[in-house]
Amino acid sequence: MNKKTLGSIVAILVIGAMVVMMVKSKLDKPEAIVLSAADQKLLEEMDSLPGLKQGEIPPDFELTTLSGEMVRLSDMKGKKVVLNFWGSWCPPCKAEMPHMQNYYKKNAKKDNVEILAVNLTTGETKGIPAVEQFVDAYGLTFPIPLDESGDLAQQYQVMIIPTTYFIGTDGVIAHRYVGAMDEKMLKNLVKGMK
Amino acid sequence: MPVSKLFIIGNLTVPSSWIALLLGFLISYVAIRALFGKSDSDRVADAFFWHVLVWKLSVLLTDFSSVLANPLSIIYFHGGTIGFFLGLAVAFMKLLWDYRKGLFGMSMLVTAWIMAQTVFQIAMAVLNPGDAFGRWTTVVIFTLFFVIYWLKRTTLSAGQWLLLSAAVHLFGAAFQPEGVVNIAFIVTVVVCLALGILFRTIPRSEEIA
Repeated sequence: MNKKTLGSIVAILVIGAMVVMMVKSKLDKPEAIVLSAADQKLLEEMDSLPGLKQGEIPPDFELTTLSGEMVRLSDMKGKKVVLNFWGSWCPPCKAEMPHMQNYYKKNAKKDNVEILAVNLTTGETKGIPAVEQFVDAYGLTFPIPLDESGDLAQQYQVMIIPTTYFIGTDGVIAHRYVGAMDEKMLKNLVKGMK
Repeated sequence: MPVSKLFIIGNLTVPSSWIALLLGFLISYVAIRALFGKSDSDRVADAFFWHVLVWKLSVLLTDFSSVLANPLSIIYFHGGTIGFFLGLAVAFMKLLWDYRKGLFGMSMLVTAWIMAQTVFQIAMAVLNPGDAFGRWTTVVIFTLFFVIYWLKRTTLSAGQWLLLSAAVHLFGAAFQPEGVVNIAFIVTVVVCLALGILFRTIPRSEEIA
């Protein structure tokens, strides 16, 4: 192939790219991620752990927070909910808390996000004082619902902590994230949901 | 293709892009091993290793205060996009060093790059649910390029393949939902420019195959 032919091919590709982009911008409407039946099956096979899946409606719940208030999931409809499950004994939970707090302080209001950090109180060997100590030490200002019976963790199939469910304004699960999240990850996950 | 799928493997959440990167590296490694031999494929493995290592450790630079407060952050987090490009830069420096010593040729690098790029794109299209049109066009365009490269590898020079790889990616990206302005395309442009400059600063050999 000589230089001229290569040059023509490159030119065609570049012009083609511009044409496609132009046509796309005229035609495109923002598209929701719609899962086909085949995609759904693939997603289910690839997840190695049980857990509530993308697209499901999570169970409603009502819990008392550390500060004594009642919080109900259905009251949050219309907001994006970051439902985090944690325990004070868990190292990755400790690692991610400052990032969650930073995000909450800086962006939660304008992103229409509420963070509910559900503490798995059944696993707290030193009880609620340990939770209070943790929250004070990290200066956490988001609500800390207490799962004192262990029922919520079971309903949400939380086997490993931290696990975080991202629930959209439509009340449906957008993502499930297992493991520590830093601020950047949190921002991206919030951006990626309705 | 945008990441729309998180794989939960054990107690880690792995974005589809990481799987795609791994696949790109693996195919690249196998191709170089088959075409150029073990010593060259070891360099590819080396480059990948350094890239990932620097990307991980870069959290020290991007978020030093968090690491100071909690050293375990090095295990749980990484340096993000900045870290990714830093890793790329370090891997490139290492390759540059070895290339200057004459330890391998241009076509090895170009083959490794095109294998990685095409496989990454195809994997991203397959793994991420969403825009069917973007996914199909990506698979078709990059599979075609992959096949054409294998069949016609010796008919163009390394530099010409680099130019083509950037043009093909530009074309493919136009069909994707994020369009042309995305990290993968920026990586392609950066790599093609870097390799192109590298090839020009070293006295040109007539090596093609």
